[in-house]
Amino acid sequence: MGNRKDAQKKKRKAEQARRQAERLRNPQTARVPPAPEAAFLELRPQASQGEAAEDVAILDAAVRGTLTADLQAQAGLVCEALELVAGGHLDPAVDRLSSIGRSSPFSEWRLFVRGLAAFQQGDPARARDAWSRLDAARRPSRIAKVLGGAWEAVQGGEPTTAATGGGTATGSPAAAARTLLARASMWEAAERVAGVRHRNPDQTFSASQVATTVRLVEQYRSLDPDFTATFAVACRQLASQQPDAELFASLARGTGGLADDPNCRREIFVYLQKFHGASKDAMGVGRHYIDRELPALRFLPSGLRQALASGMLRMMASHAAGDSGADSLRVVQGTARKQVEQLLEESIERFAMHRRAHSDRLAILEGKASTPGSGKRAAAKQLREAQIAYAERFPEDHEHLITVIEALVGEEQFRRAEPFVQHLLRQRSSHPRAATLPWSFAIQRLAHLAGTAASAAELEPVWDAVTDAWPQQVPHDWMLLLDAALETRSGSPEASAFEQAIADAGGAERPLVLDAMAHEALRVAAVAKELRDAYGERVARAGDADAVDMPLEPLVEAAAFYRTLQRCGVDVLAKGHPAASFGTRLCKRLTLQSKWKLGGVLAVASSMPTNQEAFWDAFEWLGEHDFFGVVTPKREPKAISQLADAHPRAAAEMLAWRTRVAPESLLTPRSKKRIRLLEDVVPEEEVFQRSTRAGTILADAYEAQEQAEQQKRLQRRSGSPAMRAGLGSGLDLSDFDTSEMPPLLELLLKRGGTAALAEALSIIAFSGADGGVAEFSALAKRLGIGPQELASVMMANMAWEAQHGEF
Amino acid sequence: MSSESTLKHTGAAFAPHLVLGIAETATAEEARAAYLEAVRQHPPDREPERFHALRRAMHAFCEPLQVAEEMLADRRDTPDLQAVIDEAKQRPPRLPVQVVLALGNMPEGDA
Repeated sequence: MGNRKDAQKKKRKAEQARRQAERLRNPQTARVPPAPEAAFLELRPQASQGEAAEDVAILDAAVRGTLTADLQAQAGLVCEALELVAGGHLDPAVDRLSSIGRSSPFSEWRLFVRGLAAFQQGDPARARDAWSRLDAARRPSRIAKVLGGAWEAVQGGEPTTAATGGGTATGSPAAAARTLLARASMWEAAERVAGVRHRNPDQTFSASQVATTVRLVEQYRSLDPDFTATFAVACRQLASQQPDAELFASLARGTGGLADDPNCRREIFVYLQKFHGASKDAMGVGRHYIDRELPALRFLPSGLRQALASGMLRMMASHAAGDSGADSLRVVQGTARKQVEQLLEESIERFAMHRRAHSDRLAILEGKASTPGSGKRAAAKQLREAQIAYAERFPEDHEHLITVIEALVGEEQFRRAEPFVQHLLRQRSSHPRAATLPWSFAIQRLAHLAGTAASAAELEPVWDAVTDAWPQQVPHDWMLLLDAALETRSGSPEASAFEQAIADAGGAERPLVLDAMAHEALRVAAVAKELRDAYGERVARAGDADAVDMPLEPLVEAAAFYRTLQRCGVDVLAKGHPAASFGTRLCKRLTLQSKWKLGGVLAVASSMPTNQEAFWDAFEWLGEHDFFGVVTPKREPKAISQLADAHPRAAAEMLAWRTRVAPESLLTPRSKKRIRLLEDVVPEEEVFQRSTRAGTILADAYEAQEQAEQQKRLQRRSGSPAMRAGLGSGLDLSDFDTSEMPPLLELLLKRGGTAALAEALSIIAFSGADGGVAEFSALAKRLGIGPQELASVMMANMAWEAQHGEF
Repeated sequence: MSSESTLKHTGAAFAPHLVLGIAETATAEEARAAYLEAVRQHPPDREPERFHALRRAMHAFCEPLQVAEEMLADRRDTPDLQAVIDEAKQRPPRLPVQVVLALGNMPEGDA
């Protein structure tokens, strides 16, 4: 008995599915009868005996031809204006008649069109106001009276001919107008669609609604083009909220779109973007729109047509990248990368100022350039050219411009970089790196030229550029030393001039910093290695553990000099540079401060020179270049640690260093204490640069802390059944019982396979305070799970968790 | 007078050149000049909706990428079909020119 019932149920369901499929395949299977009111659309104007020639001229082109040339032109304008109103372009229609004067016999039509536009707008009071001044003996007045009266009757709920079942094209104009304005049968049909209630809460639009809507649009388009279009748009919008591409496409094809998307291909294209794995279908539809339909839409400005094509091509690229399994453009590989690259190139070709297409192309090329292989060098070259093209197109993007300049300078392509530097100078960029960029550019260009066989005369203009742009913060002494070094290079008899410059700058009183400056000046001027090595050696050895009796100040001053150069865009820490070993030794030297203190060596018990700005410059320099870690990898040297516990500026630098090298250590009580220490002083800090730096360090530390906490949660979960089953690692599901999973994960596994499940698990593990809602929504969207379906499965999930505990 | 409805609530073609009263092939500069002239004649404080329509039309010429992105955006709001019907009932339909003119025919008895 039960079996027979089941069989009948199955049969009914199969038949239901067959009928639905049939409806979707061809929603217009049955011939749609014309709307009952449509007969009135056949009405045609007839001139009456004795009617004013100016009115008949509007109805009859032959009569129009008998008017004077001036009146013929005015009659033509009236006809155009009436067509514009019928096309929905109300303001242009009114404007079209502005040249018709009050004394013209066509001024009646001008007034009529003004009232008609207001009437169409749904403003009968304004329409009445315009129409009240019409000459009752003329046709415009008669039309106005009929329209106004009919609309009042319709609004008052009077029954109409068609609504009462007696629709014919005969009868008075007033009855015809009432019927046409009432549109009674159309509202009935529309309300049938709107009144459908779905049993399944995830369903937003059904196959039967599709069929009814398609019939409605077909039947009533000529009666009310605006409503049918608006209603169809709303229906498609509803249908687009469920993951049923066939149903949506059927509705879109059956109803047709607006004039700029007549076959709804653009709309279908946008809808398909939601689906993982649908990029090929979307591309087919999109390509058809771009190549066949868009060129014919001449009423759209050509720039807009190009922008639409460009936007769609970029969307295709992004969809194709997602379908290849990549979660960012940088990691797209193989043929998918080639396809994405081509699409983005075409997108840029169509609309050169499409910034996002350029950015996406840069991301693809960055991925390509970082992929090992024989094409790496060509890819790097292609990337550089793309970066330059972007900088040329969007010079207002100073961040990018500066990156390109620095890259070109690194490759010694000074000529190509120069226009960008000049642009930044002209723009007076407020970018923090822009202020000293002209100087660092000039000085690196000087170093490059000095390293060639360039003559002193050739160096001169570059040296002038260097001195013109000399930043206030770079010691003036160094300019003098650099000048002397250039003289030495150009054949000044021997080093005596240079020695004299050192003596003038303070000589023996500031030995170490002058050694550092001298070495750097000679290096920039490309003076013989033997000469500069003497200074370099002294810098490299300074701060040596053996030199315990050397005070800290000279060391700090030298480190501050390097820090200043680095801040101004000249990084000295190249391989083999004495600053590298100097930094390591200085750091060890700072560490010794504490040992001596513990050992009771009173001579060095004094604290570090924290009241000197140079000390903090040195401290920042050590931190930013990871010298702390050179002493004890990932661990703080003790003296420095003690300082960081007590002094907010040291705490800030230590937090910055830990954020970079060991973010997990930000969860320790000591780091948290330092964060609090810094939080207390930031609001009080009066020096703008310091408060900005401290604020940035804090923000980075918070973010790193959050990530570290997520990582910790993930590790804690590594003992869960799911992780033991290998979901989080090897994705081996063979021994995993999926019946133990919450409904959400079951759905994701069903729709997206193990990859989706792995992604979901990682969201659970890394979710912050919001429980990963945003990430889950994004994942669900990619898998074609609509918001309602997602909401419903979330509810089921909560019920599951109430029963089984949190997963 | 408002044209915004011709863009938002109707099936009429979005034809920016018609809104600005310029040629289809007009340049961005011409569109901007026409826009400025139109705004002078129809100030936003007096005709706010027309101003929006004019601005959108000008953008179609001068900021086409921005307009294109709007046209390609995935709309997420859930429309209420009954509300769409109720709103449409407040506005008469656009009638073909010949039908409008025919409404001025003399009634049969009076002709």
